[in-house]
Amino acid sequence: MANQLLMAKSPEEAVAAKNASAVFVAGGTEVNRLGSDAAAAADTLISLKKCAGLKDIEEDAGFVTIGSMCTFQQLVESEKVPSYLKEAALFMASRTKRNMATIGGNIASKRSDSYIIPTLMAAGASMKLLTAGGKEVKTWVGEYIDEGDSDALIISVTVPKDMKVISKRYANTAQSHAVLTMSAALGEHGVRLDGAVKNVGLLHFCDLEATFREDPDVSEDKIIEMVRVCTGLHTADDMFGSDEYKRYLIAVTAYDLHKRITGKEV
Amino acid sequence: MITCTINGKKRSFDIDPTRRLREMLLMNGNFAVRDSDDAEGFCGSDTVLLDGTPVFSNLILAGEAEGCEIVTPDSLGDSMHLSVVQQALVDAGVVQSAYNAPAAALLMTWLFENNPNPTREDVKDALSGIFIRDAGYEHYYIAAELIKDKIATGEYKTEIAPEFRPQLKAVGKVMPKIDAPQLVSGERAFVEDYVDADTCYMVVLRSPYAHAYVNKIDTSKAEALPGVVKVITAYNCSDATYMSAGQGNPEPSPHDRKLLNKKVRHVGDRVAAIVAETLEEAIKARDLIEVEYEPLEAVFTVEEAMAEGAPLVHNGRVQYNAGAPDDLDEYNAKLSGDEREGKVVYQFPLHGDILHNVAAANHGGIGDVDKAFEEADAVVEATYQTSQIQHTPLETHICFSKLENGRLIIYASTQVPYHVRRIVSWVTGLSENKIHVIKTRVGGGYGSKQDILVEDLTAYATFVTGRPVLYHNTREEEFIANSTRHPMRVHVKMGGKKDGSITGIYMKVDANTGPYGNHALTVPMNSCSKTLPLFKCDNMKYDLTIYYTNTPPAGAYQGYGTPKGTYGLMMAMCELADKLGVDYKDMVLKNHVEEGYMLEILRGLGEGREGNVVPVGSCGLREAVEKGCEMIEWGKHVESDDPDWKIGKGFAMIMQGSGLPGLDHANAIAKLEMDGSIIVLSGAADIGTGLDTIIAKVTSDILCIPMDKITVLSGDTDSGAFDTGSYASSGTFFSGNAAVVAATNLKEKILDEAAYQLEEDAEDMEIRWPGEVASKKTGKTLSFYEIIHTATSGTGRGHLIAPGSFTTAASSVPYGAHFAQVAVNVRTGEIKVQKFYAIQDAGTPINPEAALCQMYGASLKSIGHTLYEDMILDKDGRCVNANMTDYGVPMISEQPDDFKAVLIDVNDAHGPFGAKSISEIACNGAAPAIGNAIHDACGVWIRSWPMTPEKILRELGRI
Repeated sequence: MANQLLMAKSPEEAVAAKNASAVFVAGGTEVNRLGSDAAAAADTLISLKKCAGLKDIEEDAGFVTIGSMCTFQQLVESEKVPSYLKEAALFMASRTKRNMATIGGNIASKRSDSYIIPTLMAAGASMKLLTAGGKEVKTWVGEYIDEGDSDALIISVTVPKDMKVISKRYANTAQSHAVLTMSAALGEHGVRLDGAVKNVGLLHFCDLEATFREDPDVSEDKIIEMVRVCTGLHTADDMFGSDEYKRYLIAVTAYDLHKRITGKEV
Repeated sequence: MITCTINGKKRSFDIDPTRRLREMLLMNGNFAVRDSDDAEGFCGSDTVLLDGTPVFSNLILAGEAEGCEIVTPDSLGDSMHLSVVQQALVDAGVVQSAYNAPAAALLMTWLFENNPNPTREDVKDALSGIFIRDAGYEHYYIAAELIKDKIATGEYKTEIAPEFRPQLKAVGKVMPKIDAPQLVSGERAFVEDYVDADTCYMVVLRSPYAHAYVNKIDTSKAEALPGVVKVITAYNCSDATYMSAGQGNPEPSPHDRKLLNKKVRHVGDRVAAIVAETLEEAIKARDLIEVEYEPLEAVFTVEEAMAEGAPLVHNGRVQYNAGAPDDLDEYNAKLSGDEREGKVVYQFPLHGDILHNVAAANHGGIGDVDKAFEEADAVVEATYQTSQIQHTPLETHICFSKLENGRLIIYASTQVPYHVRRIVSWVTGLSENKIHVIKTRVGGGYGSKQDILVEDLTAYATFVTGRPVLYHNTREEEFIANSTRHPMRVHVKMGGKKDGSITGIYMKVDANTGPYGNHALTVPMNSCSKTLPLFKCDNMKYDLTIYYTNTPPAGAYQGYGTPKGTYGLMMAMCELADKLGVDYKDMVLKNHVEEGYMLEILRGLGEGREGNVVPVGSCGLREAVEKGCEMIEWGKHVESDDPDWKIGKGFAMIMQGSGLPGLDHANAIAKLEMDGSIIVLSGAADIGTGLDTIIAKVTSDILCIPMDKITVLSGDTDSGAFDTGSYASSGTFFSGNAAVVAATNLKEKILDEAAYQLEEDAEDMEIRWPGEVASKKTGKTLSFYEIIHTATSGTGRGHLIAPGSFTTAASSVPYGAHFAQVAVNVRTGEIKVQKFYAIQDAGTPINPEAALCQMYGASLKSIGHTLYEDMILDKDGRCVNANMTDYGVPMISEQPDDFKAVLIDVNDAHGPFGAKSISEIACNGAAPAIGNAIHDACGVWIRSWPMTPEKILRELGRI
């Protein structure tokens, strides 16, 4: 249980203090929630709330760079933030929570029911990190999710301004954890599909993308069957639904998003 | 040291900076910043403004508040000086149980400070982080309009609710609930606000096993810890066998538990109670207790419980306090007789059979159903399964107890103060005059606080330690260690003719009571007794069996078993109409009861005894059905623009009761005070629904005195007289009628005294507004002040005090119909409730705005029960979604876009000023209305709760 709080004044001070028994606290909606494991295991909590330079939103050359401590509500309210990211931020239904939760914190928590990571992955968002050694590095959100340095501090996230990205979220209630959040983006190389599948993880559906690339008019039934038998997808029965249901939902949603983003409404 | 500004004043705190901001605010006395979710960031009771922005104070570290400006809800205005926003919430009727009403007021204040003219969407957004379980959200929109009116013109223009009975000044009128200013302003109101500084904390060690013997408990390490006062286990505590249901004594529930048992029967069952100087010390001590369990095979469903050779949840001795069967010794010989099992004591026979895990049973009916089915043109037969649901009151269960001059003083958040006193008397051995129960304001009950779930152990801890003790459930404990809604399997067979008439109905109800039998008979019985009397049918039969299992306990829940029975019956009726090719509405209108119809079916549906056979009294059922059909445009098909979305409509007729005739009992005492004002001492337990206001209103209209001259003191076992409590929709009818009797008796005394003082005849006296008596003969008048002043002058006849006691055999049954329009996505299974209309006959709605809010609240809650609320147990009986987010409850985002509550004006012959109950019935309609609408939309019958997208897809054959 933590017994020390560091109110870091700069990203450099924050990363300098980071070690195995220290935890970054951004908005606090994850680390401070329900006595989280992360907070329970930590000796030191490093609050980023007073870190300089992490709350700006800048637009440049068709890209928007968002400071990691920008709250979800700032994303919703900023004129610079693209509408697809606002839509994802609004998946967090509680305004009070949106006032607290940050884009950096949500990415760093790597939750399998993340509100925004599928959208960021689909949009090809990049991130600037400050490593423990004080070095700034650039990475893609997808890379960070797979193998990101958890001791590094997320400084900012950069997303394309005008990209076409659409998302769909399924949850029992607006405040419940989502069983599936999926996003599709239309880029130079076709449609990209990413998702957050509860208790499975944050996934890039490259096989589905390939199928759609090969046959843009592929039938829904074929997609459903493809996902149904996919051995690389480790869904299981749990309180969010059966393995069968989740696979079906992934397939139908991928099919729908693909149709919608390519202008062939289902 | 942390320095910040709280409500405009600079404050410094010597606090560990890793503690939560809320803890720091409590140190500052801002106790209206409450906790409903153990820092989950869900319910919003802990909302404050941090540098002008609403945040959850439990998710902010104290150190992060350094240099910040904090605004808390108690800064907005006190109960004597409410702000415009607070007043609007009070006037709109949303301040009911109100545990987080101050937080809601803060959010609305913040909204208007930042946006003086908010839209409906803005209000929805502002309130999106606050969970309201009692009143729903619809009247918050009205409150917003009232605020706008007030700001713009200085007065309200928006109608809050319709008013009734123009000849009366208080009854049926929109006026503030009398405890609302206290609640909305965040004044001391709840148990936690009355805890003394030297109080010890109690925590409970709970079982990790669903079924096990507790063979040994080593508490030595725990007891050796500094600060630990006492560790209570089954080996050093009271041996009294009782049960937790707060019901009329003798109860129709088996006594089958002790304070702490040597056998645990569910994950979360009590193993030990630890009392320590601080909460941290108590928790630390709990972790040091070593328990030797002997795990046993468990049963979790009624199917498992009824199976041949199933493990027995209770396997000790059976005892009857009355009506023991002749072969009891023989029966007991078949049980294990293991001392660790304890015993099961029936107050009178309930047809229990613990050798087969049956806690209670009931069977009966009228006519000949077999013949009726033979004569039918079509018969449907289906099974409907309901789920285990938690009440989720904002205020989790809490109790504070202390000793004063040899008496136990218990501050309780309860629906049943007198039953709390009785049960504490049983476990401590103290006589009832040595126990004083003070019911504080109750931050949400919904039936869960009809069970004595924490008061027994807390009071016992004070009794054995002599120390003040506080116990407060965590949110997880609410799920695993409280009462819940019984899961039920309702099997219905129904036959009908081509003309739409129903020939026969058979119901087989198998209910899961969990490990203990509190409310075992009464809750499931309501699945028949509050549903079958809707039907004008001569052939009806029911078989009701309640099984013990090792799930978390079940108990009372708003609606009792009625929502489940209604779900089964109304779904089956819709299926029958479909099979016969008859319009469902026509079938409903052809078969529902009307005033005067003799309800023979009730004979077998008493609570463990013969029921009252009565004719249907006032009945607004037909009007409710017709009104709702008109509103929802029954029969008119709605087509979606999106071919994936199919739209359908459904409805259900509903009924409940108004207390238990022949069982319930209420008392009130009305006193004329020395300045002519009135104090009413009521035994009633207002749980936020406005019962105290009802008592004040009926008193006001009977005694012709303004509401502000009446004070109601209720729920205090020392100052009031016995009342069975607030359950079974009894409050308005029983406690309200007791107040009517007391006020009427006081009126007679006042008239008599005035006549005496004027030296005239009492029959020439009349009572007049505002609190005076006039002679019809001479025109002379005496104010109440003059009357009581003379009466208590020393030469007068003394204080005017009048008791009122109410019992009855009469039934006042509320009726109604709930309507839903849903959209179903046939490719994803998603369900949207687009419209929901609750049309109800509540007799005279004494508090119309509060009544509407309760209809919205209960309807929204039951929409949640229907679509997603469900306690999920793993294979070992552990609840895997024991928090608010994982469990899932309806909030403002889940409200139907078109949501209406309508009161049908019916005057009842027996209710106080014609009133009947209002809130509980509103839990009954959603499931069948939505289920039938789903069928109308996409052709599938969803025969189990929750009606999930996955079930839709399975029924559609998509998966």
